[in-house]
Amino acid sequence: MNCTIFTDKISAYLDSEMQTREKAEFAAHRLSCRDCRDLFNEVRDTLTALGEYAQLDVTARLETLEARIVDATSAGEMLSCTEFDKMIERYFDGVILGPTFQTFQSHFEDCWKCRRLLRGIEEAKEMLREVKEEVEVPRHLSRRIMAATVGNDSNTFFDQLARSLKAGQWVAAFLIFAATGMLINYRYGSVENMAAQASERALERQEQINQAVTNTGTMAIAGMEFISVKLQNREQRKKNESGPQPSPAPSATEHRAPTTDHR
Amino acid sequence: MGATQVLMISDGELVRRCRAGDSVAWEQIVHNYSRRVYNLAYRFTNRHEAAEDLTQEVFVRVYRSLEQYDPQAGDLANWLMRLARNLVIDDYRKRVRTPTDVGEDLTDHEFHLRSSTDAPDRRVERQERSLQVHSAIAKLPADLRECVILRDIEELSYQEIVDILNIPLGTVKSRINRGRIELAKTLRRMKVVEFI
Repeated sequence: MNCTIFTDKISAYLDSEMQTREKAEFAAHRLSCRDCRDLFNEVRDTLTALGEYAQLDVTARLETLEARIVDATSAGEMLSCTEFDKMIERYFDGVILGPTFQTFQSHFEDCWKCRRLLRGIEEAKEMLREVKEEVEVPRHLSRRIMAATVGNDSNTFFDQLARSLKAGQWVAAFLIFAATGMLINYRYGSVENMAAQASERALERQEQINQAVTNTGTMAIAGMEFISVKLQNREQRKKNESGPQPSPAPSATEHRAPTTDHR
Repeated sequence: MGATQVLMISDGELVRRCRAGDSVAWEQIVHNYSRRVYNLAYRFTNRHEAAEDLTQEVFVRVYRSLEQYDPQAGDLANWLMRLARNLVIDDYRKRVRTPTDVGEDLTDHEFHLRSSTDAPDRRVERQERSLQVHSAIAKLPADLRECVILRDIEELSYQEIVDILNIPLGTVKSRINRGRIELAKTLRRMKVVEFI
């Protein structure tokens, strides 16, 4: 055992917190090292002095002190209004025990604010007993409770949109909206002007379409007439090429014709 | 009922009466323990006024917490002194962190021997030595001082000190040892231990 370890172990030795083997090493070092022996003796003597000191009483004014403590604990001065407030619930539940109740009562007698508070609560309790009808619950209460507990009180489309969009997206949407408004204003003067011009253009376009439809119809009729003339000419040419026709055997068509005429 | 009539009453009975609103029983508890609490407070504060204030604070706390005391769980003395130690050490640490008045009223020291069997000259000698021990303890660093007081004056075990100070056992042992060595060196300089 060296001097450092010896120094660290002095209290363990004096307090009998050392194993036998270690104790023997400690004793051996104490015998061999004069400095460590002196230190050990000083610490041991210090413990004796501390023991004497512990036996001495420093209570110079004990009687006065006791009277002061009893005054402070039984006169109700120690109870603050906040503490009184905390005890009110227990008071109404009837669970305040003896010494505490004395303090509570003393404070009640000394403090007009707490007296007024307690009487106010008693009156309120009395009124509550008298009123049996239920009070209408405010409409927003359930939403408020949901907001306070779950933190989400509505699920409309706009609420969901508002929750789903982040701040950056909201800014971008606003900028686009503002730019569109400025463009309309710059080009048309106002939204009304833009609407009027759009209406005029729509009418013009409608007329153009009507005109085109009319032209197409006219052309179609002309085409049909042309085709019809062509077909007639072709039929005529065929008749001319084939010459006069022999008197055909009376066909069912010709046989039936007079019947038609008769009608 | 006078205080003398409750002298032989057990602590459990005193507490029961106290809870029932018996002010004499409470006076008896104050009388039984104020000396111990005051001495403890004085070792840490070094000032009579501060020790008195602290003692009063301890008893106010005890008075309010009396409902929590369970006689089955242990002696009133242990319960009360544990509460007192916690409060005194809390106060001591607060003062160490924000020292306002570190001066000690050594001129106001009055040590009284509990037994008067010593010869008068021997008694005076012990009182002088105790005054110097008191002064030497006051010179110790705060962390060593609280450990030495709890171990060598309050005679607590290492484990009890661990529980009160909420520090590891190794630290407690180390502080007690260093505190004693520091104290021994201070007393040597003051030439106290030479005449023990």
